[in-house]
Amino acid sequence: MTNLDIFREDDNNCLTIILPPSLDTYSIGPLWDQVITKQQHSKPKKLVVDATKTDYCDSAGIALLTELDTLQRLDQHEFEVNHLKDDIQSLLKTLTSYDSLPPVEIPEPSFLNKTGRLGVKTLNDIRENISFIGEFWTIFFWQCRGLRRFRWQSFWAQVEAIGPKALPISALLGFVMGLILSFQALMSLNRFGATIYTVNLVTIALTRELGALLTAVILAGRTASSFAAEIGTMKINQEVDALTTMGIAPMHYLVLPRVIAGILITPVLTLYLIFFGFLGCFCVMHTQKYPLSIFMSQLFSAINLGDLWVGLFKAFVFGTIITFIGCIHGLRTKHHAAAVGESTTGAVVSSIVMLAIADGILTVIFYAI
Amino acid sequence: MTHDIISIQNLTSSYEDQLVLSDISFSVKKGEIFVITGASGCGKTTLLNHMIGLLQPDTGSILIDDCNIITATEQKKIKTLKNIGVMYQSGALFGSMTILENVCMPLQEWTSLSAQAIKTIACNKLKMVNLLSDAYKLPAEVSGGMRKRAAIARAMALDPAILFLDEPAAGLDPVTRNDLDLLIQQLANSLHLTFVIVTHEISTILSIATDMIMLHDKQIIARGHPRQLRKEKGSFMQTFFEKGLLNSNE
Repeated sequence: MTNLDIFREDDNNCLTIILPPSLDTYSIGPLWDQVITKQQHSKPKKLVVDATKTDYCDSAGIALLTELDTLQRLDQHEFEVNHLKDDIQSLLKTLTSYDSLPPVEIPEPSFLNKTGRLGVKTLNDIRENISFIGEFWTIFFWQCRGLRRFRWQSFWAQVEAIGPKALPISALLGFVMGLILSFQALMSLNRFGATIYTVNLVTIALTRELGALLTAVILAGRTASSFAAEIGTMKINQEVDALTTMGIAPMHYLVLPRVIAGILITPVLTLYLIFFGFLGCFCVMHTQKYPLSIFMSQLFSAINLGDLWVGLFKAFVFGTIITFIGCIHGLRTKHHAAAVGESTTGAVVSSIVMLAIADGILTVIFYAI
Repeated sequence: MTHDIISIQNLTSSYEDQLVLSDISFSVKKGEIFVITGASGCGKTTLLNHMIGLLQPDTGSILIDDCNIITATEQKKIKTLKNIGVMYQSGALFGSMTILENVCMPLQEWTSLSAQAIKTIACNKLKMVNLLSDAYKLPAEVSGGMRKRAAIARAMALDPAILFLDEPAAGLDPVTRNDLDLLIQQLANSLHLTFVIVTHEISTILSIATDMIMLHDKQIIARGHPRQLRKEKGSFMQTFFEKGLLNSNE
């Protein structure tokens, strides 16, 4: 429809809008824009809507009429609808009869407001984390004193989920890392005729640092995310609330078995990954014509128990951090559709960030010692 | 004469090897408030899911506005489904969107309206369900009854001819339930909408239904106006109504 078909203007600044036969939600779009633009542009003293041709009108059509009425009223000008069919007239009457308070728009917070909220949220998070850790160790203490029954079944289920199910990926990652490290070291050491020391380099790197770190990264991806998703879903289904109302502390029922399993399994998984790292290293050394006996003797001379303890201690700390973070994010899950996804992502990201920070701190401490 | 807007013929449905609905046939006239009732687990929601195209039956036909949604092409099916609105038992509002955004969503997806026009139409719908003042709140910030009303507003966003409501009164207090019944009646009368309501709330059935079916043991065991069915002495329906009313009075 062209403008000439729709609009008619006279000398008295009266605008007539001739409505089409059908005013429905799907076809009203272009007409809506045309009519509103015209009204805004010409600001008529009187606006007449001619609905002679209109046979069908749904609530979108009525919304257009009410919008025009509102705009004319704002300009303190007249508005009139003519020749409206009886059924449309009654629909207009019905839809305009609903009385309601205007919507209360929530204003976009200012930069200062946002910063303040972020600060408060961060402080709250820190406080919650501290109280979570405190509550955990209190329950752990009760458990150690035999004041509460330990949930062995859940503990073994978690041990299985964290440990045996992670064996294939840990073996693969350890082997590939041993292979890569050995090749990189070999290329440099070859220039000095010291290729045998590749074993020493790989051994120190894996036992002291990489074994624990790689295991922790695997656990962050597998375990922290699964803890957050599992506990988060329980939170949404109000299972956590049900536990609380039954007088069972979620910390004791859900968190304790998971964290203890994580703390105990991480060092074991680290040793397993280191073993496969050595295997990868041996494969590379074998290509350089080093027999197993020489590789083994070099390996045993390179292994320092102190380095191994450092690595295992780091694994213990990393295991604690990852399981804590997974559980905290799970318990903090909100009640909407995207909440579990947010918790899972949050758990993995926080775990990796905290691993990097903890590793940095531990490395400095052990260097100082 | 008012024509049948929904017609279901010989519908049979099973889940895995278990028969859920057997040889169901009925029709709904335009402008009716049609209730599907029955005890828990009798297949009410399954029947509703068939009617809104979420489930495929084993046999039978479902005609909505003369379109058989089982055999229709995807394009025709979508066109027909755009003419129906559904309110799910939980409301199924998108939690990350405000109530206004929830109502705007179908309009944004299926129409070429400008943002301002969509907002105006959505606000009108919220006005109808008396929720305009809470338009900018998230579903989690309003009560259960308000969530149900918001879900009705969203279901009405595209001006459908038929509204399907799954257990609209579930979990609501008697006052809110009564308000919701009045709203349904008002919308049906003023906008000439057809309502198909799945419920086992006796008070809702008696106060608003113009026609109903009762499902029992995978089949329709009664059909008619609730007040007439209630009068049938010694029938299963009479027992259902009397016990239901007794429970609601307690």
